[in-house]
Amino acid sequence: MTDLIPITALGTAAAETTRIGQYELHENTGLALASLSCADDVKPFGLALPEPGKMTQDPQRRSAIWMGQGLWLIAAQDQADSDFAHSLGEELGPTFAAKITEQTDAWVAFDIKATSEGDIQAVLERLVNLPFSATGPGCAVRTLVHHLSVFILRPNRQEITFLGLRSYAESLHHVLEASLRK
Amino acid sequence: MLIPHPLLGPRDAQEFTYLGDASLLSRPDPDAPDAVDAFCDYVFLRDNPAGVHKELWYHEQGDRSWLVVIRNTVTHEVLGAELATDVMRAKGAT
Repeated sequence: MTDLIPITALGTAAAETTRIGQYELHENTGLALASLSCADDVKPFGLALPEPGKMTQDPQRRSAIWMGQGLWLIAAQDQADSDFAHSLGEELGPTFAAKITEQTDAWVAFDIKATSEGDIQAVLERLVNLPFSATGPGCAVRTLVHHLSVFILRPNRQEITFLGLRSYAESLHHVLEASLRK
Repeated sequence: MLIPHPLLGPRDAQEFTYLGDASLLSRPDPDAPDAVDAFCDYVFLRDNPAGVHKELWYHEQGDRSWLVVIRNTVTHEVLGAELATDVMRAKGAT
């Protein structure tokens, strides 16, 4: 059988972390994703499905992210090498089989950690055409960053995750790195 | 220009794609006897008002919803926005 070598979205053998001043920029290759299209009265892994522009998360940092009306993205850390859509299907039962799609390999996730909320605010104000309050802790919004479509996830005050399409991972990484160096 | 998204609040117009007159939501009945004439009007004829206009905008770089935006074509003032699904449900569509 062909011996395939897994690589990250940036083409490296392992995920890289770049330290820039007070920031840490990390490609999160462990994030598993699946979309769920259903009514909002379902609780996958005990997660309440959030309102528009929001995300919910549990202590294991599994999260539910609002994508659009009746559509959510379910995310789990360190499970990208598992069949996460199948796990979500098992969690919810057979009636949800057609409402779930695998999304893990469609996206690239870049986590930015900073030492203070002010540093996160400085980056977002350079990159995003939204008021800072729209990207507060617990928010998950889709918008444009340098003409690239991204999800901006804010799990807590000092962290932010940019989810972009894997096909333009390098462009997004360049944008984020350049912005952190300013 | 800011579009007041009913679910997400004010969003920059560059996140949206413009389609045109919101009358496009009212597609004629293809089985009606005058369907050919009705579709000719539907496809080719548009009002072109200087003033308040209802138009369709697609939130392509956001939640992928279609909005009916009321805009003054003279001043570019945006007077309101509704989800197109809500507009159609109010008209009795399922």
